[in-house]
This record gives sequence, structure tokens and C-alpha cells, in this order.
Amino acid sequence: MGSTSTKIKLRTSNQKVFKVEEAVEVQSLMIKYFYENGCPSCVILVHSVSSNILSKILDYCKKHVNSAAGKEDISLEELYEWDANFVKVDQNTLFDLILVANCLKIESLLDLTCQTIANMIKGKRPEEIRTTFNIKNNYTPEAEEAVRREKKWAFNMLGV
Amino acid sequence: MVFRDSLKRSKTKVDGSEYDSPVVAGLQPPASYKHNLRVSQGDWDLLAYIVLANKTNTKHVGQGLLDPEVRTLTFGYIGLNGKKPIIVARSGENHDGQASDNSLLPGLNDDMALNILARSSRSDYPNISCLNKKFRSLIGSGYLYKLRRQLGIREDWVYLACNMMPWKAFDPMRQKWMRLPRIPCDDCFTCADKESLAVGTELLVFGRELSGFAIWMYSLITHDWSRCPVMNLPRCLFGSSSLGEIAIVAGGSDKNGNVLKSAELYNSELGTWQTLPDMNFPRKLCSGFFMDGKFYVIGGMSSHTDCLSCGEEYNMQTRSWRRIENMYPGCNAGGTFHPAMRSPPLVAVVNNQLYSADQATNEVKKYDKVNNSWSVVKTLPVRADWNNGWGLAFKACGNSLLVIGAGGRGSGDNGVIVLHSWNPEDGSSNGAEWSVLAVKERAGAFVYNCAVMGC
Repeated sequence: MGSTSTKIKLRTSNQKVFKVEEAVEVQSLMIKYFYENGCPSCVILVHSVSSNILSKILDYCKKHVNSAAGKEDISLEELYEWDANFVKVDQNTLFDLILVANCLKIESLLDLTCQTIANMIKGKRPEEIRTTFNIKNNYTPEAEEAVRREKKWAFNMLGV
Repeated sequence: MVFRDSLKRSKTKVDGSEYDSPVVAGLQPPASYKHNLRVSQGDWDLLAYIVLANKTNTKHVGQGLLDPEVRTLTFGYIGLNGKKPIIVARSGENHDGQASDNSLLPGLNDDMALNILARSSRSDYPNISCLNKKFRSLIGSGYLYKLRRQLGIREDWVYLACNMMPWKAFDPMRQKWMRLPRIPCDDCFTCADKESLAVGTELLVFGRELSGFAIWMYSLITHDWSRCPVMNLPRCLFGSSSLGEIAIVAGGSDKNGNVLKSAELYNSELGTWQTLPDMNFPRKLCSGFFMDGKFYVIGGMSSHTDCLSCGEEYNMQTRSWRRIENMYPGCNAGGTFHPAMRSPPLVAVVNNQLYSADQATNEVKKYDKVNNSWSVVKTLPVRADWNNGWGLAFKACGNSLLVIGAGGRGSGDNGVIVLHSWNPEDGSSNGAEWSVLAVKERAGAFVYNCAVMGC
């Protein structure tokens, strides 16, 4: 893990401190910036993020950096599979991952997590999407009926 | 800008008692911050960078749509006390699960929600617009398609008009056909020959009304037809292709039958035609395509009798045309009919690789950019020579080549149109065969127009 004196630390809201390793520096544009621009040993307080989430994120970064650097013998397919398993978590966890990936600017993790949520929308009926994501329906029943009719007309499905 | 307003948040909350000022939105330090927290100029530079980085790294997500106030929610950055920056990952709710006010996806800020929605399938958008008013105005704004372009996300749908079937759209992913409304045009336009082109989220259909050349435009966003502004120099029998939200048309024939060397660029976001520099030579009945970011036009005829084997390349950066000799040879070979009877070259570009379907030999050929030569890679699944290449569509769709034409005997009132697909880059050189993507019954035996809309 190298010398700790020049490392950025992340502190979560439940006061756990994580040393940021090279892995995360590479993956996170944000931390990379801090590191390269004269802030190599600061503590970044990551509000509202539990240590569970943060350690998961660090796992992700390590995995990807190590495989990219050839430190770990893993094929691209295996990495995809690892990613697929990585996002097999409940929705709240996914949302947390997205928020932190966005804050720390970890682009590949952001892509992965956002695509996972997007896949949860695919093929679902409006009611199902509303339930899944706790979306409030602010249509009056008449307005909703009108929207549905309009949709039906516009997307006249003709079967397979 | 209706949507912009609906996304605006009234207040920015900050948890943590020591920071009871709102999240910093601008780059100028408020006096109180400077005083109380001893923020150095360096810190403000850092903040400036981060606000900037936040804008650029999200690939301009929400630019022009989300105001800075919303953007700071994505990345609340507060309390720059010396060397202790604080990053706040915050959501649109109190983070304990209760549904919040008006964020698109409760629990996520709208930037992230938009990122997610852009990644969902375009076939889900009608359902998404039914969720509530905010989603409806989002889908109705067409913004998600702009975002998809920025993120490099696209799904190709095939738009098809046949002799027995008015315009329909086909989604290869779901294997679904969708009917388009009728074009509210005059009878002249309905009966006359038409050309088509998909650009951005629009399908343009070029034809002739009693009053002259006309362009009808179907919008994916409004699901309806409207008139598209006519070109600066209206024409038919041109070569055309699109790249994202822009399209180029080149050459063709004007209303007096003159063969043109002029070209125009259409911007579907602006709805405008812009005249480009002239090509080196006039041509009509030619074909256009984009490859490696450049526009090409090949084949066709320079007069009623003279075929062209050369191509021209248009560089959008330098705004100049370059002639490429012998780019489409063999135009005089293999046909018993007059060359003017033949269809424009059937060309398609898959992942920046050009292919053509030979109307005389029924072969698929692959273009070699380096040597400016062609090699046969496959036999067509249908006969192109029967109609000199007319009535047949040869298109790129995703990673595959698509051949759409009459199936079976291909005649009579119950004609069947078959969509054949083949992935030319499918590992094994000769392994993959044409597969039938879809069969459309009672569509006729002749494909009038076909365009693939990738968005």
C-alpha cells in the first residue's frame, strides 16, 4: 500500500477513515485531481456515505485497476461477470453507489451502475416502474387515461 | 424551456449544523465563508475547477437544461477549510427511503436520473412518459435523445414503406412493428416516387406535390408528420446520408432535369438547410454514406447516358471535396438494361466499413479503403438483378447488414417482405449466414423506401 503519509484519506459519515490507494486514484478523476494538485495528504469527508458503500467502491476500483495493470490474471469475460455480480445488490445500495461514483468521478462505475438501473426499467409497465422507483403519479385519472390513449395511438403495436 | 423550469429546485439543503449556508453555487467566495472558515484563494481555485470538472466530466449532461443550482446538487462541495475538502454525496431525499418531492427518480438527483433514463431502451420511452407530468415533459422535450448522442448510446429502428404497406417502423430488439400515421400530403405526393432519410430523431420523406418538390418529416418525439423546410435548391435522385443530427444531400436532379453538383447540409436540431461547396462533378442517381466522419458520394450518372465510377469525399472540417477515381467501378458491366434503369448503388456502412450489394451479380462486396478496391464477401439472400436493384433495401443496422426484399415468389397481392440480417464481422469468416430477422406479410413485393434511424 506504500507510504501513508502522502495518501488522501476518505472519511465516511460514520467516522471510518479509508486510505485511498493508487487503485482509486487512477479510477477516480476527482481524487486524482486532489492528488496531482497539491493536496496529496488531505482528508476528504464523504458525507452520507456509509463505510460499507465506500469499501465496496474501493473493491471495485482495486479490481479494475489490478486487472488493467495485469496484476491480476482475469479475462475480460471474467471481469464482466465480476461486474455483474458486483451490482447484484438492493436498489438503495445501487443508488448509493451511483451517488458516490458520481461524486468521485469514477466513470466506469457510474456507467455500470446507471446501466443496471436502466435495465430495471426495460419492458416494465408504468405502474411497475412507479412501484419499483417510488415515483409519484401526479396525473388526475382523466389525464392519465388521455396520456395512455395518446400513447396507444402513437405506438400502435402490431404484434410480432 | 418548460422542462428546465420543472427541474429547478427551490432550495438547497445542507445537512450538518456547522454549514448552514447554502451550497456554494458560484465561484466567488461569500464574505461569511471567507471570514469564518479562512478559505484560501487556492481553495477557491480548487472549487472553481471542481465545478468545472463536474460540468465537463458528466459529458455536458444537462447542459442548457439544468441550471447551476441543480448541478451543485450533484456535487455539493462545501467547507473548504484549508486542506479538508468535504465531498457530499447527497440525494434528492433525506436518504432514508421516503419518496421526495419532485425528483425524477426519488433518491437520486436529476442529473443521475437523466443518465439512467438515457441508457434505458427507446422503446420504453412511451411508458416512461406515462409515469407522471415531469416524465412526460422530459420525454416530450426530446432531451434524452440528445443525451444519448453525447453518451454514444443508440438503438437502430428500421422505417419501411412498401407497395402494399404505408410507413411502418420495426424495432429489431423487441421484434415489434409500429404503424406511423398517414402523411397528410396531397395525392400527387402519395403516388410519386419518394426518397427517404433518417436524421437525428426525424424521418424525412422527399417527393413531389402538385406545387413542386416537398419534404415531409416524421418526428419520433411528436409521432406525427409535418412539413420540413425545402432545400435551398430542391432536387430529387440525390445521394444522402446522416451522422447524428446532421445529414448531407449531394447532387441529384433539379425540377428541370439538370444534373447538380451542389450539396446541402441539414441540421435536424435547427431544421435548416445550409448550402455546402459544390462537388467537383455533377451527378444524380448516386448514393451517399458517412465513413470515418467524412461524407462520401459514389456512383450515379453525370448525364442521361454517362455513368460515373468515381466517388467524392467531403471533409466537413476543411469544407472541401476530393475526387476518388474508380471508387465504384463496373458501372457499365453486367447489365442488359440501360444504365439509367439501374438503382443508385446499394451501399451500407457498418462500423466505418463500407459494403455494397451488386445489382447485377447479387453479391455483397467489401470496400478496401487502403487499396480503393472491392472484394466479394457474400451472396445476397435475394435477387437484386430482377429489378436492377430497385425494390430492395440494403442498409446497416447495428453491427449487421440488412437486406430487405420480397420473399418467396415475391408477387401478387399477398406479397411477403423479408428482413434478412448478417453480421459481417462475425468471427468465423464464412461461418455466419444470413438470418431472417422478420417477415412482414401482406406488405407487397417491392420496398419503396427504407431508412434506419439510430438514436
